[in-house]
Amino acid sequence: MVYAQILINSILLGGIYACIAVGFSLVWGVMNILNIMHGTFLMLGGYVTFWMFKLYGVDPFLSLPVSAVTMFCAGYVVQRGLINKIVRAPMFMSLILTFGLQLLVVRLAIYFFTGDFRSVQPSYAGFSIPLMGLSIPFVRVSIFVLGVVLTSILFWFMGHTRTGRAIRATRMDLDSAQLMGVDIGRIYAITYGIGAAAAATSGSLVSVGFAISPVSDVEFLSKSFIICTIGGLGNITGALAGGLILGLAENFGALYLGPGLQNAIGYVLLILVLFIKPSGLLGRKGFE
Amino acid sequence: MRRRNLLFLIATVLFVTFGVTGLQGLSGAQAAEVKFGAALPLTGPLATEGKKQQAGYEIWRERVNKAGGINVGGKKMKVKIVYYDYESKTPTATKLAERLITKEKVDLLLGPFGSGATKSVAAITERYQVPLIAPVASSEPIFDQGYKYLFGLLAPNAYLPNNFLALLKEQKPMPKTIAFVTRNDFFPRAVTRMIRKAAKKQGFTDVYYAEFPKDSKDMSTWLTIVKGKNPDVLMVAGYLPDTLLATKQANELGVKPKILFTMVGPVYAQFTESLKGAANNILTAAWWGEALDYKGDFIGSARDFGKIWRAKFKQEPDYVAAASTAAGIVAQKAIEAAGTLDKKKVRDAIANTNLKTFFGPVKFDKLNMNAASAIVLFQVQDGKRKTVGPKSVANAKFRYPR
Repeated sequence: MVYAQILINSILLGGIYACIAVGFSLVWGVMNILNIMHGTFLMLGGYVTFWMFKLYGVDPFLSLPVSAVTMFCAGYVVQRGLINKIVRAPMFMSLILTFGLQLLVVRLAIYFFTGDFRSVQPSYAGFSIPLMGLSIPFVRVSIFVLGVVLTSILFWFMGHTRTGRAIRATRMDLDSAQLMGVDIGRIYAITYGIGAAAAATSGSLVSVGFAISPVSDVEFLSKSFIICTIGGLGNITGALAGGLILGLAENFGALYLGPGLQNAIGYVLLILVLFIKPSGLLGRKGFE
Repeated sequence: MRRRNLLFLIATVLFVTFGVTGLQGLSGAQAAEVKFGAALPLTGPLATEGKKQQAGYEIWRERVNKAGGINVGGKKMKVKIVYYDYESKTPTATKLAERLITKEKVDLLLGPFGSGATKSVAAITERYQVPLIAPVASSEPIFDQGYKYLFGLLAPNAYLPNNFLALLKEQKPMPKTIAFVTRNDFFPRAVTRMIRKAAKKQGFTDVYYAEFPKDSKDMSTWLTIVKGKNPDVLMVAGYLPDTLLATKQANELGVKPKILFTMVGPVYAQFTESLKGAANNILTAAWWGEALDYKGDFIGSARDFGKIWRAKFKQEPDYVAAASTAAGIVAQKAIEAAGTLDKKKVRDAIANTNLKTFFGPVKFDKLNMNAASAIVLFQVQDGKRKTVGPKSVANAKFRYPR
């Protein structure tokens, strides 16, 4: 029974992890930018949901579009105005720039929101569905389902829309895409915006299931990094697989090795994957 | 020519490094003020705590200065507090403490946040023989190093096990099994191990013990194991994000011990604000609460401090803030008793402290810990913290089972 319950917990956690990592994977894969701001957008999205819930009593799941749209705009502007200036520079530059921005935004967030840990607690938060002696936490299932639905929408968008195809073309071959008339600057900004929106959505979900504070962005960033490396960069299924694998490994690792090593397991997995298949389990060569 | 330039350069460097500080020292010595120093975590993960401490120190400073200052041997001297931000990094706290002593030439240091940073800073104050009053450190391993200049305002952690277990024994039917889970960090682990040891000695059965890492994002595995063991009591030790997450997930997974004891969590206003109903009937412990019947001549009663704090921050005060204000009071009374700013004499005066304050009685034991104070058990009842133990200070009935 314990195993079945832990299996369910792992899958639900893995779903959230996947959702957290999708945007990070997209930006990294398409633009070759290690986006340190990813955790920051996630944190800001969480605060959008928190404040809408606290000030206006808006249900956290209803504020998802708001947090996605605001962060899409923020991401678009940040890319066009700042990151675009260094997009041709070595990857190291993108690290420095996004790291600097991250520091700035986090400090501002501490100033305005304080460093307190906050959590959204809707009335149905502790409710769980009993199923053959197991408890299925309602909020986590909703987060999981929403995460999967949103990721599927993104998947569909990438495959079936003009912009999505342009993003994929840019990722595969920049010069040819440009020759085919793709406006690279615009595609980059949109990609970055989508990455930010995906981060913000997962942040909104996280604020319900976990607790957020301005400084928790780094923790989620490091999870995204591990998930993308495990699953493979640049494709959405890679993020899904990486998230689920990390969720399972953390929970079953905690069961057998003790909860104290729960966070370490992710890093061990990271090193193992780098040894065995550096491009990630579902990644293609050329994206490492 | 070249050599002369080099000499000139050396002379300039020497002047800048030594000459200027010498001048600073001169000008500092003339000012008629008592200079305190405090290295606090004003940014970084502990920023909330650091700012609360600063606010606590400032409440004291404003009040003293309004009354004309501290009476040092018949002369009223205003108080100045120099703050440095150690960015929540302990090694930086140590460096800044040294700077406060050598550069700012402070007369006395007010403590940083938490047991870890206090321990590091105490090594510095001991070397320079500057008194350090620590409002937020309660772990014995800091105070048993033989430090003469370090004083702690919180009651020793060791008081907690007896209070807690006494409360368990009063309940009917008496809980018998306890599961312990702690964050693998200095303070939470120290407290958990202490209670666990005492519980075993007093005949309770310990059904589970586990440690989780800091920045834990998921507690479902150990909660599932605990659910299977079905203990009467579950103790979760960690900091606010840990206890917040644990309580949330325990609810979701239907983990329902008769007593849920978390340290520290419900002590902070954000805990009850975030969790609302889910925080109800959770038991916790703290060194102070405004409902306590403490009184002193400087601030007034514990409730009066609550009023001052609410007027400023619109929030319930916790022990971190109160202890910080109390640290200022202890320093002030000791300087007045000594009648001088001589560090050795001030230290001796602090050691002889015997005060009644809004924070509770202050009297230091052999280890320079505040043995006169208490650790109080609180239960969240309908969103409010109620004192449920020890019996001598309790003002509400413990709700059992949860």
